[in-house]
Amino acid sequence: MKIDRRFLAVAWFVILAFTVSAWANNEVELNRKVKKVAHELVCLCGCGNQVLDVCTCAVAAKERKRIKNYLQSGKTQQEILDIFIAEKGWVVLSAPPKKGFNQILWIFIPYILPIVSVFILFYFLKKWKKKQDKELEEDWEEEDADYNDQLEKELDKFED
Amino acid sequence: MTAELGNFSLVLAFLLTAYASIFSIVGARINNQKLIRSCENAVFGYFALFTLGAGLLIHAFVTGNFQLRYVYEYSDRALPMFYKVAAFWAGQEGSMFMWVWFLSLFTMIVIAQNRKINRRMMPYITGILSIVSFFFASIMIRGETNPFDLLPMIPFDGKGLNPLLQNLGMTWHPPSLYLGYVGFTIPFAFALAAMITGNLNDLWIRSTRRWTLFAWTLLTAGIILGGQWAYVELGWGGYWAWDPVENASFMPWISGTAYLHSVMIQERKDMLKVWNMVLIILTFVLTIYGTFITRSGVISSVHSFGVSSLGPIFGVFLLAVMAVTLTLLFNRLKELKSDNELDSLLSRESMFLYNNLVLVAMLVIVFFGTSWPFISEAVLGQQSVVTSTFYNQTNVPIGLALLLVMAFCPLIAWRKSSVKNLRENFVLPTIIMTVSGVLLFITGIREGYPLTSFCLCVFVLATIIIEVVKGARARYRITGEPSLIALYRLIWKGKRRYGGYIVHIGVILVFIGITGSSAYQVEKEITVRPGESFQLGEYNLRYVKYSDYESAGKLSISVIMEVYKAGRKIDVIYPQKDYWKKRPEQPTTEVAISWDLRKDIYIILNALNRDGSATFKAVINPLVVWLWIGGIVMAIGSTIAIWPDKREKLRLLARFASEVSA
Repeated sequence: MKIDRRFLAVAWFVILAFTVSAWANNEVELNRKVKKVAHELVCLCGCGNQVLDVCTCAVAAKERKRIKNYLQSGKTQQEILDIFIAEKGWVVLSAPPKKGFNQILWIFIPYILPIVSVFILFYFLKKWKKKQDKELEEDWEEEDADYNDQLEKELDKFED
Repeated sequence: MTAELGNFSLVLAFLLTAYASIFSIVGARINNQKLIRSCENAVFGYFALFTLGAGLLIHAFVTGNFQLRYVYEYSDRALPMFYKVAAFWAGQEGSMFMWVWFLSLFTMIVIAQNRKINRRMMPYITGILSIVSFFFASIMIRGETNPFDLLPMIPFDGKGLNPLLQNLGMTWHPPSLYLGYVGFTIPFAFALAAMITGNLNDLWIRSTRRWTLFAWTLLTAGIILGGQWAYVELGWGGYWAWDPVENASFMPWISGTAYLHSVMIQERKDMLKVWNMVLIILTFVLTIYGTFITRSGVISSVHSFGVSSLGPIFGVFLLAVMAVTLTLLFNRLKELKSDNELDSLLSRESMFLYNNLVLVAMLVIVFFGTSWPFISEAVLGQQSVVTSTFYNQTNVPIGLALLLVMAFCPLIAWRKSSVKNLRENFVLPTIIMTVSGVLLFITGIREGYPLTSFCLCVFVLATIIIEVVKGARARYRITGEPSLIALYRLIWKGKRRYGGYIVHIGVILVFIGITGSSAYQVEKEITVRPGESFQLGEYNLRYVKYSDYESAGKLSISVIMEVYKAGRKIDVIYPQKDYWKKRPEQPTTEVAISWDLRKDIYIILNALNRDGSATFKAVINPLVVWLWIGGIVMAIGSTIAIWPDKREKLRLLARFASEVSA
């Protein structure tokens, strides 16, 4: 069977292009993963607890490289985080883990408390509402009239 | 000589603060007007002495008197004159000095403003403000934190100012922030005096309305200037990192914002008296708390430029302030209780309360986030760190809730809104919002949070513009003035109201900047050789070449970089890295920014390699510039609201007259 050499060349080129783009994609994807893991950690270089994915110091660059190597060797995010925790303690995490007592920080303070407070406030508002027998039918024109009155008054003052 | 004179002035000033603290209050108790006036004069005295001391310290910096430990620590011969003056507040001693100097200045102004009015409260106000000055003065005369402390020898040169502080931000950010912090002490002192004397109506609020706004404006400006500084100097691509010290300035800002909204309810409806007291006390306490956590070193931070043993002293002061204020509050609780009454659940009043709720929720999140390292250590025995990872996640919903309240507020009338009125007010902004939302969706903004945020921003802007146009039109109908003049007079006749709206427009612009830059940031780290280029979003960046040059105290490496868009050169920028002779281990970056109204192209030179190739961090930060524009708009709005108003003054004087005759 005779195969067209031009066809082979094209096929080779296509395969190469795919490989290169797959490699490039992998690289982008890998960097994205590194960033994701680094976001969970802080840089302990002493420049004040900056999150590892944004810290600009040399230590941070080295740690990011380490994360990249771990990811390439097939470790999962959790496994990598565990390695860092084992090495440096909980302070290496950029936020406390979302479990146990820390749930107070993660769930109670930012969500439950505000929602409960809305209801409490609403309860008070209802209590404070004047007991009125009949609903005052407020007219929209009235508001405009208020405006005009006030303007009139101010203008008078202005003329003085 | 400088040190002796400086110390002498500080000790004398310290004694005068003690005198004014004690005898102003004694004078009020025994009703001795002479004693009270003498204490007011003591304030003028300690202000003069603090001014003398500050002048001496600045003189020492300018002339390079390195025998003063403080001058030695924070400056050197090579430092440009400009920064020699600003080095005054580079460390803790000078910061405390600036604080107490501002406070004594403000106390003096308050005394001058109230020579004839508020006479019952004034001695207490003088006393309380002097106690705070006394506290700061007592820290300054301690050996360890004394700005005039001498070294045993005369060094040839100083250690130099931390390079990160050698930025224009250093001149404006700290003073502005401190003016804000100190400014809130004034309404705080009035609130305490109101509780002590039992003048519990809204007079203390009206008397300090402009002080509060002044403090709030300066604190806002300080925070935004700090963000700007971090953005151009620290080089990580952002402006706000939720660092403990940033939080320390943000917390009193939140409670101060809640306060300046909720006092309006007290002025109108005589409600919420206890709540307003709590908010102003909280705001003051939080300004001290901020100093406590940054100076005690309990939480590490990028701002830890001078950690010391001041933690416990501030802790004790904090506890004492809380004990005194809470006792006062409990004593007056019965009298402060008001007949809370609302005309309707759907009223501007209730919206203000929801605004307060959202702000307090935000405050609680930031407070617990910032304090969690202590709490976790105490409860779990586990050290922990809380960074932006936590705050960004938890504050987004709260931020949107705040936008929502801001959107509804101007549409809902005071006292009561009828359904008909609501419907009419909501239709147009809703249409505008929906149309913009669809347009945004078509142009590719489809993620939930940013889309919601942008839509709400449009809604708020629409409501404000409609409101202003409506007012200007009404004026035009009646007076026939040309529309621009009608608009100007409308704003000028209602400085408070329209100043407030302008501030809100600024806030919205800030929200737009935050949303754009946090949701659509594009970032890349790349190494290229001279002559090569790389793609960043729709831009092409070409690294042309580098050059190095020496200047005062540093070696700079600067890169020429061209920015192309669709093949056309649109800008040339110069990212730079500085190596400081005194601190070679701490090179600093000079970020290069090519900006327009849509985005910043933000380039950091991370490293220059031996072969001439350079590693850059390149970021596209969409809409960041709106943050700074928003800041300026907020400043304009609040200046309008602060501007003296003749009618307000007359009303206030009439109130004083009726108080006296009553």
